[in-house]
Amino acid sequence: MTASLLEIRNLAVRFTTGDGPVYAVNDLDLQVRRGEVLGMVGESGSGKSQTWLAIMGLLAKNGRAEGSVRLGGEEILNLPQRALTRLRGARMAMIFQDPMTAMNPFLTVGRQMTEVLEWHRGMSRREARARCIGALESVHIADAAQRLSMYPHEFSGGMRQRVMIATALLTEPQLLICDEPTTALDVTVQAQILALLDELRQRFGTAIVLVTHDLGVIAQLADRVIVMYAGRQVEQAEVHTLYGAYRHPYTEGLLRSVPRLDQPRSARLATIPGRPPDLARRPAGCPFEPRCAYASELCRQQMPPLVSLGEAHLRACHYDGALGPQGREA
Amino acid sequence: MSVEGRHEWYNWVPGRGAARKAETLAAAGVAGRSLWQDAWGRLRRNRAALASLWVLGVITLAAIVLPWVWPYGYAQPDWNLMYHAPTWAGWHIFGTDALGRDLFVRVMWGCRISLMVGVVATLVTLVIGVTWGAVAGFIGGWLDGLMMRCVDILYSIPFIPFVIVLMVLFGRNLLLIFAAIGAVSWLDIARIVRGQTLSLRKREFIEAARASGVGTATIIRRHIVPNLLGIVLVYVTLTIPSVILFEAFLSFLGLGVQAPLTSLGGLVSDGASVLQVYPYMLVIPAVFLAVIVYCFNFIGDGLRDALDPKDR
Amino acid sequence: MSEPALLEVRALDVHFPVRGPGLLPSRLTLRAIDQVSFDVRAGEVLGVVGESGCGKSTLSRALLKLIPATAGSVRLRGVELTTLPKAAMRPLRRSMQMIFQDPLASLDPRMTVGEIIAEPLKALLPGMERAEREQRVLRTMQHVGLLPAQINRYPHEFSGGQAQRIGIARALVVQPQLVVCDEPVSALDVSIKSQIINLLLDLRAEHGLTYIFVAHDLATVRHIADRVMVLYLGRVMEITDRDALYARPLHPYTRLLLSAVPIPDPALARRVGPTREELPSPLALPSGCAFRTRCPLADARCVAERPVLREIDGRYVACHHAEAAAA
Ligand SMILES: Nc1ncnc2c1ncn2[C@@H]1O[C@H](COP(=O)(O)OP(=O)(O)OP(=O)(O)O)[C@@H](O)[C@H]1O
Ligand code: SF4
Ligand code: SF4
Ligand SMILES: [Mg+2]
Repeated sequence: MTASLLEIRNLAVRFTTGDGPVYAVNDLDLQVRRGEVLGMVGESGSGKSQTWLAIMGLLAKNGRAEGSVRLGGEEILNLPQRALTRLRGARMAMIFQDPMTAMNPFLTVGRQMTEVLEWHRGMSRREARARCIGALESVHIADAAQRLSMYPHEFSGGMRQRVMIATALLTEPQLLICDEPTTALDVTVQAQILALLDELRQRFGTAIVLVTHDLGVIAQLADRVIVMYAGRQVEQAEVHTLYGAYRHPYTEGLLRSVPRLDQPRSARLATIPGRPPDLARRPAGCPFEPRCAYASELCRQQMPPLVSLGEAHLRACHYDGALGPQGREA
Repeated sequence: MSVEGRHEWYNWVPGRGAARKAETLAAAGVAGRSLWQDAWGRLRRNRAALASLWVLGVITLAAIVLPWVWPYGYAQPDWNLMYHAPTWAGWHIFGTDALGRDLFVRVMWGCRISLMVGVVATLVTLVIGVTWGAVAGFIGGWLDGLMMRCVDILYSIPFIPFVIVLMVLFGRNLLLIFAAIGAVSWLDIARIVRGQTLSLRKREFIEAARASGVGTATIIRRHIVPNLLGIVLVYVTLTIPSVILFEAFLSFLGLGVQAPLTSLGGLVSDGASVLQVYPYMLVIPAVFLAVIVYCFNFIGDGLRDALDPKDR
Repeated sequence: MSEPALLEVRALDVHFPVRGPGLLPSRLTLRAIDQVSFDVRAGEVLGVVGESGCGKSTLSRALLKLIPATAGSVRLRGVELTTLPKAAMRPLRRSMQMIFQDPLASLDPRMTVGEIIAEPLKALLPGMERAEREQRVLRTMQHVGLLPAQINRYPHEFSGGQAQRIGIARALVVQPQLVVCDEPVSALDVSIKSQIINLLLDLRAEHGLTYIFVAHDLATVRHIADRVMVLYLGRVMEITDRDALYARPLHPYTRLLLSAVPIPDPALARRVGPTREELPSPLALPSGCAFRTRCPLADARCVAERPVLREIDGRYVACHHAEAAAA
């Protein structure tokens, strides 16, 4: 058995729409190791969410996933609904950007939490309650016992996200998938939630997948990072490598467009010109080519393969020269 | 070509594109279109709705024109030809009824009356209901309270006894039927519209319009009403048939239009009583009634889709 | 101060009546904006920051009279707005426009881009010829980076960043002087966010615009604002020139906000220890300083006495211990 908890091979997600197929995720290969935090970053529509929804078996009705996903060696992609339900919650859990939509507004928080334990663990209501109080305390919610009898709308956004995390952790999953867990929150609350995730990872050894479009967030927590563009993985590296020695023009663009406080203010913010491509079309060449400052004729004609640069650093790009201002002028 | 060049419109920086400005404006040759123009284009591409429009048009035209040229009147009895099955002889193509009156001309009259009742009553309903609901919902506050209490009070009046009393007092009269039906069914739509308006009012684009200096009446007309159309049209497609059927029910009670004039509802109820002996008396007007109701449904669906820009 | 400010806000209060809990609800007052005073000078960008629920949107809307002010004064070029009747307000709206947070929600889904952008023109310049109006719309679309051919599209056909350009065009089409931007980039992805910020900066340079730019994170505001106002629970905590604020934040709340901005560098990433403090309920504000429940410097004086906004080295801070913090 390897150290990897989740192995994804050749994952493809496709949606059938009125205007033909939409290729949301293509040829995705990746692993999540036990206890690590894997960051996944990319612009809106780059297929980050659909990857994990497919793995959780939560795709929209018009979506189909192909390939192979193994959790602890066992194939889990496209399992029957029943087996999936058991798997979700018990071995992997997912939390979303908007915690309100993931909660039933008519049930108390306690009811929603105890239900999980009664269902997955066959606990009695009493037992489950005690566990839930413990879980809420572990995500630093004060007066946990009283809070259990409150309804979701009585919580602030940050607290709701804490409750979601507590609920996800009730069944002690090996893998916690967080899809933009802090995008809807204030920076202050975001910092708290990130710190909480870090603490939980250390305490319980849960592997965490952190999906976000903000490289600032990834830097706080992730051990390894995957950069997605147009449904493809374009770069993968250990976190310090990625920020210090990225090798893909898109990663560079993303990094440069984050407004930062630790550097002198520039008159103009760097941007990536243009916008992400239409996923209904499949270009022959590199999907980033229309926005890339380093593009050449080759890029237009041939899709760059994902190749290893050594030391667990992968990237998909034809350009071999230096990145950064010098590279661009050359 | 440089990256900059390929994306110049997108990364357009004031000044940089000045030279191209005039050229692009001219070349584009674009004229603004509105939702209504787009909607008409989309409606024309919807086969079911288009076919329904045609069918309904033909029925309406026939109902208006044919009684004029037909050799029989709707109230003209022929004591020798009672309950005669459809025949080409003497142009009684739909047969005759208990008094030997020509069924075809009566069906045409019936269509005319039913369509009139349906459309006029629904229009009355719509105008009063949408305005009332939209104003109450949008302005809110005490006015909303007052307007909705009026609705509640009107609701509490038992409708059928009310109509019967009216009929007895004023005699049977088409206008009265419109008024009575319209006066009652606008209550539902006012409530639906008010609820929708309340939620629309909080939407950001309404606030944006206010920030742009748009007045209340214009906001209701330009933003609220078009965004209510979806639900209102669904309601209308349900109301026209139900009004037609309601008139049929009144006819059944003997409270419909004054005999010898008739409506499709009246004809169906006449036919129903002799169904086993003379089935054509029921089948023919029932088919017309059904076709009309279906046509309205298709048109309503088509309109709703056409008016929703998301539905391409 | 010789040059009069473009916008002068003095002791502005915006209160909302709310029903309390329980069977016999008492009437409570939510002080969304509490004694806020500031100036906006012509041509500058005033950044407004604070966590959600701090009254940023309420303030924007009150400035534009989209919600009524409870007390206080808002003067645009010397004209008092709070008491102005509706009809007299309309011509002033030409000089004051707004850009909204949610690009899609702020566009009527049943109107075409052309109609949306033309709407303020129709309302505020009713005498304008149709042809001229159309030219004006097309020109503005080009200014914000939209293609003329997109004039007949509907909002849902645009991505968030594109939709926000439509919102910007709508605000600019009447050539206002002051544009209130209520979190115009918060809902956008990083790369699109910087495109929009650059666009706003370019438009300002070209048209000499003045912005009030609301955001919840200080990193974004740093790129666009000349001065920054920090709000907390409806009160002003600090108003300071940009460079001074980022170099040496005086108010403890400003420092909290600054420390929460994630830095995209794993070597520098600071992991803020988990704090439990939530915003206090706006219905039951703490006595004295509103920030005292979360403030590391809070003492008895902060409980007893509400700090007023006072000047320290040319900056305005509402904190009893601002000097201590600065040291
Ligand atoms: N039900 C669906 N039918 C058709 N296309 C879909 C459907 N759901 C998602 N897509 C498409 O799949 C692509 C990838 O979407 P995904 O949600 O994974 O992006 P993302 O990277 O998570 O973006 P965001 O940052 O906005 O959350 C998008 O182009 C999206 O439009
Ligand atoms: S392959 Fe070419 S176009 Fe694609 S990212 Fe690399 S240099 Fe740019
Ligand atoms: S007044 Fe006191 S509580 Fe308020 S910010 Fe200053 S030190 Fe903190
Ligand atoms: Mg997503």
